[in-house]
Amino acid sequence: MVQYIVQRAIQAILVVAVISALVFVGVYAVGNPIDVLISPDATQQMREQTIANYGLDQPLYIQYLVFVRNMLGGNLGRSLVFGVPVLPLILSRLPATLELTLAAMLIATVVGVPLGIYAGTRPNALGSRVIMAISVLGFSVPTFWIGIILILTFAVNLGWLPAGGRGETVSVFGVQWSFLTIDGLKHLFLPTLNLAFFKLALMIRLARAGTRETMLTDVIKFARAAGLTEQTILRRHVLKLISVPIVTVFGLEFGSTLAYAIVTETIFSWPGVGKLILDSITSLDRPVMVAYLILIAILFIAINFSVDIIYLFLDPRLRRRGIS
Amino acid sequence: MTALLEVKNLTTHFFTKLGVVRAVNDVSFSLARGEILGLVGESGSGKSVTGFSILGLVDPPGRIVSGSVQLAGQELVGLGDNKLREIRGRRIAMIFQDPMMTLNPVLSIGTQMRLAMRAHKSVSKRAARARSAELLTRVGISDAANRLDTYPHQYSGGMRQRVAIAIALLHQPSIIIADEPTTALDVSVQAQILAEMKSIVAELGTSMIWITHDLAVVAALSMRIAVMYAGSIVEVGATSDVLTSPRHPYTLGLLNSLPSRAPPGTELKPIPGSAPSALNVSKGCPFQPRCSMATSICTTVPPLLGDTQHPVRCHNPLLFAASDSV
Amino acid sequence: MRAAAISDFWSDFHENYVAVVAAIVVVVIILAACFAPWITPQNPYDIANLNLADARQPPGFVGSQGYVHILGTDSQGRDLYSAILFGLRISLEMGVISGAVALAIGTTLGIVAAYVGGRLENVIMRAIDLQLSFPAILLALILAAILGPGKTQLIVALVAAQYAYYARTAFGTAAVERQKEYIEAAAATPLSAGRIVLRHLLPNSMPPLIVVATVQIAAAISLEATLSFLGVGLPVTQPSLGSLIANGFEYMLSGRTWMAIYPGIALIILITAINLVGDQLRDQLNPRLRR
Repeated sequence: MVQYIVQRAIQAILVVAVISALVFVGVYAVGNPIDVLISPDATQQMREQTIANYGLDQPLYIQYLVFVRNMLGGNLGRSLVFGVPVLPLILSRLPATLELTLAAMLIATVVGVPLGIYAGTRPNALGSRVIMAISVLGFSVPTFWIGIILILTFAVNLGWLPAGGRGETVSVFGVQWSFLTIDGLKHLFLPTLNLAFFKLALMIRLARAGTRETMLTDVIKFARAAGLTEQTILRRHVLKLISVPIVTVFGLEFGSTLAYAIVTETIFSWPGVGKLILDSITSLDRPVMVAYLILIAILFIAINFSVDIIYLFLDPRLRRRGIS
Repeated sequence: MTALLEVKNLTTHFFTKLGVVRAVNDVSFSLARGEILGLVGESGSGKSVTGFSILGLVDPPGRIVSGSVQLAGQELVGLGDNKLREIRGRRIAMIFQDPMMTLNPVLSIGTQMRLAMRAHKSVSKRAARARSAELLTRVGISDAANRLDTYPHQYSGGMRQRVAIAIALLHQPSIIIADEPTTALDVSVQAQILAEMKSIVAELGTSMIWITHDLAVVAALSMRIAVMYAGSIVEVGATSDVLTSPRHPYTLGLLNSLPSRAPPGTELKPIPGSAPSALNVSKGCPFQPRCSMATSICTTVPPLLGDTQHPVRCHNPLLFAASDSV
Repeated sequence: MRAAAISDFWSDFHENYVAVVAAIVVVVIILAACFAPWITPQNPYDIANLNLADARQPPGFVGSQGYVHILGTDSQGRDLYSAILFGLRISLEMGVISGAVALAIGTTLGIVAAYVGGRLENVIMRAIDLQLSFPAILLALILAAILGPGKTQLIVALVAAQYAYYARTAFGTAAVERQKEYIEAAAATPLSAGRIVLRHLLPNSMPPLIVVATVQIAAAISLEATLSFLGVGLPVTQPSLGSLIANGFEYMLSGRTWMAIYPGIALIILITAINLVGDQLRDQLNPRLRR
């Protein structure tokens, strides 16, 4: 099993390397990076000066090698728009986004899976139909619109919760977190709900489908024949059996949730990485884009890796050969 | 001696979109204490559904339409779920056909046995382990204590079925319903399990209903045989009686079609035709289209099961000892 | 498909009232979008029509052109009702075209990978898997930003974000089919590979592809709206529903909610209706859950 972990770790590093190259080439090769930096009526001399300063006159592969060397030293360049080093810029805003994303995924899973299991065991009950109707909506309504409605209802009309911004933060391990304060939670609630909606619908549907399928198997029939209560059957047999697909989706959707945080952060003025990346995309601030994409890639790979390890715990059939 | 289990006029139908599937029609039989009854029939004859009906395990769109199942005088049909659950696994246990499909692949054997134990009795983890190990050893699994933390996929089919049997024995039930438990296994393993079950059941005094399509199995194991066709019991009697002097033409046909009965070099004799669909019920006897003894009454009037020592559901039952094929 | 199969399909379909209503809604919207120029009082793309004096007026306002703005006007003076219908048109256009192109590309890739097998299959499917793990919105966002505003550019971005789902689905069903004996048997005959693919692999992959297509078109419409909302994608002169909502958002906190709400409702009705139809199709075409 150790061999398996090492193998996957090496694969992960390779993938990061490949992706960094792809991202770099993709972002820098399309369009002209200069245009962001220089106003249209700059002189030719100023253009050439700027090009030389930023090393943009070098062939692409040299630029990439310089980039890699810098990256390994912790330097990911400077934002073309803000002028500050990229890595600290991103890292300073990452905790806010992570907080939001994790909270959203947690809510989606902890609320969605039980609802889905319930809907799966009693597909024709009124409660189930309501749950499924809500899940279709959660699936269909674009995230940005849900955010708008949430603000309209809770902030504007009812006045219960703030319409945007992040609340008070508390420093833990040198990082600022807002979920530890009441004010922070008040500010965190609506954006989390917004981001969670889509995933919630997904989890409900997944848990429902998995439960329906599992309930028809002989494993459940045998358990019933042994006299187990439906509660026990659901908790010990069904839950464990559907946990593999749920963990899979959790892992896969984490990345997508992180990306959709862009929308939520825009609507709620949440000071996270999402807003930053949106601005850098629309203004073509390439260093920031590249750094963000690579960090995302690393995050994804870390998540996939963890999911693979978790599989080994969930499904004993995979432990034998250590291969999925 | 009063019967331990008394099934009377049991009828179970499935109400599907395509129509009503009459899986079990007016089935009656009894089971005495310590008796092994073989329930024989081809696929689709309703034998498995009969077994499920006894425990109230029929899934929608099926349900028991009428009839009675009495366990030591207690009526099971219509009993609430909570009460039925007390009976399942404790007084009547069931073993299924394919242990790969019935044991949960993601839970350890010890966990599954403990869950089955806790369904009826609160036990500490240690007590559960001890009892589980004891039973696993009893069903022929060596090194039982260490096996408790292993998983079903690490075992062969025969071993898995032994685990299922161990689970069935946990609460020392009065009756075990075994639904084709050896059909999915190799022949040699089959013989082992049969022998072991016979000895266990004799030792514990448990009654058993052994559901199968294989006459050879019932011949070796059961004391009485009930033959099912198209959802009804067509013949019941002591094993030796039924096998040497079958009274229903279907039973005779079954016996004659056994490859072991055909002299080497001669042609095999299958029963012509095929079993009727349970959706379309004929007016008369369901076996009539394939029966060589059929007369005109067989097409119009369904025959009834008689009330004798060796009842048969036929208008023209065989009355002589069959030594030749018909 | 044979006539009997189609009529069976239809009789099952219309057992679910919700799906039927949803299907009708979709058809109505499509028709409304097609005939938009004839059933709206204004062409919202023609700047000459717009009068800033009409801007930001609530529903029921009688504008300078003389007719009632039944849903009010937006910040540019556009009649909201007209803008919504034309916006629906764009949404449908973007969704369906990008869906069709992604379907074509993805299906081809998936079936080729499944049929040829071996290393080619490995390479293609790994690339597809890699892409599937990358969030579609990010990919579309970056592509749209890099390529610049415009319909074609947006379609390219949407196609790039979607084709992988089609490829995966097509590959999945084709991979199952190719193992079936009749394909092996066909391969032993003089039938060309192309024929085997077209007459056998492809038709059997159709049902799941249809389901994926419906869901994906809804997702593409949602994605396009999100991109427009974020300010990327279509030019400002051709507002899609997303940009209308973005514009309206600014005014929402001051009580002028109609500018964001009505386009939003239209968008949701469209997407939900398509998803409901897709749900019903999926339940029907999935043999395992039929009881």
